[in-house]
Amino acid sequence: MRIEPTSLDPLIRRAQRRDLRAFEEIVRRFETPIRAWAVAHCPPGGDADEVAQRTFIAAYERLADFEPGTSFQAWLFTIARYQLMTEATRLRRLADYHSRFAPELLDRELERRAVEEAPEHLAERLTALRACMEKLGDAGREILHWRYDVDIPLQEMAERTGRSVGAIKKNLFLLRQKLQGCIERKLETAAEGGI
Amino acid sequence: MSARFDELWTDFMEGELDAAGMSELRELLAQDEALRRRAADLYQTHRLLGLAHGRAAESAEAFVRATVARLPVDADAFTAKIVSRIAVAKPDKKAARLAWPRYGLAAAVAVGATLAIQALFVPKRATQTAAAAPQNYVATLVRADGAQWTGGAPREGQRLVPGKLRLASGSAMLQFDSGATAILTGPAELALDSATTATLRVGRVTVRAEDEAFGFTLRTPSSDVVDLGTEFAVSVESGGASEVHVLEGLVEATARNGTPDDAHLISDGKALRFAGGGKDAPVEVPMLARPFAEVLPPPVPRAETPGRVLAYDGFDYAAEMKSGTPDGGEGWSGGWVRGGFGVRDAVLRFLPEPSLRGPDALSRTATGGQMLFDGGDFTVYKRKLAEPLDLRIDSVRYVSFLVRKTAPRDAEAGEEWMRVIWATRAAKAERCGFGVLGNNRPFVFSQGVPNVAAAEPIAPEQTYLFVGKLVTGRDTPDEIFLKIFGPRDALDLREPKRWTVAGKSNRLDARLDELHLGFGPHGGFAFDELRIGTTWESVVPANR
Repeated sequence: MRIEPTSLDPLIRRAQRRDLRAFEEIVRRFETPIRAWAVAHCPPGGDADEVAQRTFIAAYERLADFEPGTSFQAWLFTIARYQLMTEATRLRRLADYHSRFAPELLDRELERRAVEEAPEHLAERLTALRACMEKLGDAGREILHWRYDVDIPLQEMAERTGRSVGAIKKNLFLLRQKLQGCIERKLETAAEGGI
Repeated sequence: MSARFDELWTDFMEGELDAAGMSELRELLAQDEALRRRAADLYQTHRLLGLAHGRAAESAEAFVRATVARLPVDADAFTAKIVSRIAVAKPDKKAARLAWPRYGLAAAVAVGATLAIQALFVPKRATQTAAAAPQNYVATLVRADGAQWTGGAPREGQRLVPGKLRLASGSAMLQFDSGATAILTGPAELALDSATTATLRVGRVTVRAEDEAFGFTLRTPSSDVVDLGTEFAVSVESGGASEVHVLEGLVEATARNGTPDDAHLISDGKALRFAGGGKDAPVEVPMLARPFAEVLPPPVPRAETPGRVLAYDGFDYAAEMKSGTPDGGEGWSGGWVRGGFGVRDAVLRFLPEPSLRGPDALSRTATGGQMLFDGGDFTVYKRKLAEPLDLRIDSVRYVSFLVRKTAPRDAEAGEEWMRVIWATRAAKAERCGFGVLGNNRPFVFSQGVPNVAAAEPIAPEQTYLFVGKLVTGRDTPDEIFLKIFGPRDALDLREPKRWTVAGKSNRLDARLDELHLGFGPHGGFAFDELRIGTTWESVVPANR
């Protein structure tokens, strides 16, 4: 996911001159890392795509402030962090947010990660996740497809498979856990220079 | 302990955790730091799963477009840049024309100045963000004359996704979603790259890109051509050499292997030739292209009107029907059946003569009579279509009908008084269609995404022609458009460039075999000349 600065500089220069097509290309190149980072850090109930879009809009408005020669991606992620804070603040203003939507400690851990952890590794996690999904069996992939693509209620999944709702829940939990383990192994191997 | 966490966590992920469960989960997390990290890992994986799956993954390009559409357009800076480059390149008389009227780059997305409003019907999915609205189509094949295609043969009205079009002979008119119009003359091969960019590999294309289409780019093997004005023609020979002829306005052309500093500004009446390979400097050649208006296919009516009328009802019935199922017209399986909610003793009323007076061309083919509705209770009349609207396949359907509001009652925006929708008993959550709200604004409706209403209301005691377009896609989004013609509007002879309302893209998946005519208590009206067809011309008869 690293973007070569040499190929980016002319685009940034054009975008700084308000060339919309150049900026569109910049959005296209950073869409995945910014969106992956936003969905992974946006608290439950928040609109991650809104955070990602606002990041690009703010970047466009402030392009004149970007210093050539420095990392554009790092600059973009700094803006994304501010946009995420704005969204988190909006959510916290909702009455009973933490008792209704999310445990406060989960939000705090997400906030810590957003500030302390290297932002670009979320795109790597997304890549690893996609590879791990490939390794699942058909039945597992089907359940995930129902849950994440077509958003079928648990009851309907249960009816379709002739199993109980409890069994479907357990199945979903195990699938997520399996993918979690697979992602961690992949990222560790990558860190050690493998793959 | 861990098993309990697993259970609570899954309920939390599935939105099924109650207040007691939430407080238990909070306690578990408070006691164990490792569990907090694990919970955050699982949460992030869950969210990334959402991004990794089909619809979200497909929406990457939609995200880019939606983001760019929201950027503030800095017209002054843009103008200054263009004008300064022109001044350097060619200080000719045309520079005076560069007081560009407006820059529609952002407006291209806010098509038709429409207004998104809350869904009137209970949506299947609660909300849809701008980024999730897929817009995979880039253009529409508006017209094909004597067109012989190699490979896939698109039909008139078909929405086109990025990909190649190979036209062996004849001509084809394409309307890009950016607003640019292109006429391709066969033999030619054109790749649609996006709503703003196409690549001509061989053949000839004439482009008209006004206002909002400013900046439309046509690539060739030897040059890149950017529209800065309105009208140009490009031809590409089999060896890759290209010629750019500017008919009106200004074009920026760059050799394929050139840098932006090598750009040539070509003003109207001029033409440049780029040699194949795209290395040598271009040479000036005589401007010989025919203007857009001349290459435009001859206006309708054509000798043979393309397309078919699939269903028609002119409402030529007896004055009142307390019972029975009026079954006139054609293209139906059975007659109108009263159904729905709060029906009571609603009487279906007709005015046997005359027909509702619409545009002349329409009246000429009309049958007598019209349907009257005085604005009583909510009532729905249903009729089975002989040929259903199948949302599982790639198809295009057009519908037209006349509406005249007779009881000028104003109501809240949410209280619509008329709707025409496609539905099916088999999947009640899958419906789409058109209607008019209590504030008299026409709207389009597609179950699961917010309705979109027209910016302007229609006036009572005036007859309007509604023309709708329904695009269904197997792997591409379903779309819905509405164009409204008032009593003084000239009819568009072909599918219009701008619709009065463009609905939000959706993905429905049913076979809609019923047409529902719904009435609310917020306005009486007359309804007539209902047509469903496969092309614009099949539902909008031209003057002959």
